[in-house]
Amino acid sequence: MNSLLEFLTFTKATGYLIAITFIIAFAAFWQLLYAKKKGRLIKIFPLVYLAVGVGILSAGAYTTCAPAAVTIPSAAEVRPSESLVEYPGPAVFPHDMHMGVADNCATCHHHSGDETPSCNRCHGAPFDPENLNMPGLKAAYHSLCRSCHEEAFSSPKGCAECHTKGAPVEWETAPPTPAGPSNTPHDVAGKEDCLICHQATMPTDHAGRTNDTCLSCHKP
Amino acid sequence: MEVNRRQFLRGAAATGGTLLIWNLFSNPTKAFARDFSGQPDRFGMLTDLTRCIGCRRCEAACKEANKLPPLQIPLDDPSAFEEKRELDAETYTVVNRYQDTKTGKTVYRKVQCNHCTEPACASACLVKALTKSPEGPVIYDESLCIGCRYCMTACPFYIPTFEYFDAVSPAIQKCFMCYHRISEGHIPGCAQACPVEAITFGKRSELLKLARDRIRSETDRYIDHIYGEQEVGGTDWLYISGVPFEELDFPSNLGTTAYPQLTKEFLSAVPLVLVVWPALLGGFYLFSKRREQIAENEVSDPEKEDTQQ
Repeated sequence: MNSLLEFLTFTKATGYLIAITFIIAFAAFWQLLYAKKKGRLIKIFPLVYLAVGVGILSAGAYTTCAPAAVTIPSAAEVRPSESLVEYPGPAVFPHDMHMGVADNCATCHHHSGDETPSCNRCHGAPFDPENLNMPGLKAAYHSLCRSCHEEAFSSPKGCAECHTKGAPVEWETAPPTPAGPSNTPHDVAGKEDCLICHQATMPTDHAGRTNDTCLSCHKP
Repeated sequence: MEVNRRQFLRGAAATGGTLLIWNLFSNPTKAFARDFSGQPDRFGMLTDLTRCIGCRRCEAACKEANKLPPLQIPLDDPSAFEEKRELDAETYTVVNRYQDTKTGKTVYRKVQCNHCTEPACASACLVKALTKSPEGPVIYDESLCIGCRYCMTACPFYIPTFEYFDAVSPAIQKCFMCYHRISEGHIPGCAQACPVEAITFGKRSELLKLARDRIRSETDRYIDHIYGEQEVGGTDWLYISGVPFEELDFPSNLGTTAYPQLTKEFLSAVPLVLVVWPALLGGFYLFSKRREQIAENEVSDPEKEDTQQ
């Protein structure tokens, strides 16, 4: 509402009140005009009323509707506050296992050439106004995990596959070391790289052996 | 002070005329502005429906941020999606599940106030309880509300809900983009809680660019339309999707004119008419009545003179 005309023509509650007040004043003015006693006061009254009315309208237009300088907080100041919603607990991320599954490091350490930076080097607080397309750290983790683990994101129970509240998942504990060359207790399909999980628990006499020799003794 | 009627009318016309012309030409664009394109810096939200996984953390965060009663159906209960849920006085947002008819994929859609650029609800409100804040969100002042529910009738998306259960002082309830959090420099609850950043919070102008970038860089993932860019004159809550919007219960028949535009011109003339017509027409009546009176006096005076003689 920057002009008197705009204020007069697009007003709400107070505007209608002013219009109604004017009508009542007009009726009073009419009565005064036709009063039998004609004194000096009668002639001054309408002038005064008009001046006051115009004064109110102008004042109203410029004070109540003055365009105040609104400080819109720049999005850079907007920070995520303390976390909302129940926190599902920390996720377990077995990096070594993923190292074996991925073709090369750049599958996950993307957009970094040959380097393998930590995720939080680029992904920090979300909704940076300079770079809205860069997800925040939480969304970055989840989007990358989702590119392979879509099933964990398709049901409410899926979150628990990784967010185990710190409890170790069964593939995190070291597989048991059998006495002799035992059969493999689990399916080897999709698990061709035995060393990824069993490297740590191999007996010392197996030192230096590679994946292609495991299956020759340990039959599936 | 003796004021002749003619002098009075001249003086009034002179003051009124000067004031009017002064205001008209001091802000020429504002006075004749028809379109309001909104504050350029206003915040908005972009929801990417291809990212949403239907976890409903946005619902839970909204409840927590606005101190609402907790979720009726817990987060890990998939029966929440059996029916399409609607908003109510204690729920500012819901996520509903849809099936893409072409690919059979599951799609989720979040429903909440769209924070229109020129909101129909704010225009319909008799007492300015609903207003469009310069920061973007359409906010509500409960102390002004009279409970008439015109806003509920006006909203093209059927968003405002009413506290029917409260007999004494019911209020209108709807999402207000966590205005209390934005004012303190935090981000709205749903945007913060989303684990896959399906909701992006930022300036509307930037979000439009972001949405266009995403559509352009992955053309087979998105439908080439940003819902909310122009619907009902533009909304501050934008959507991009891989599934046609009509299938997700987005109304497609709204047009691109802001709803207040349809009534603004007529309604804005009403106060002016109520002020000017009585004054003008009353003046004409007074004038003609006075003329008759003078004519009567002139007729009666010569008669008096005759009788005296």
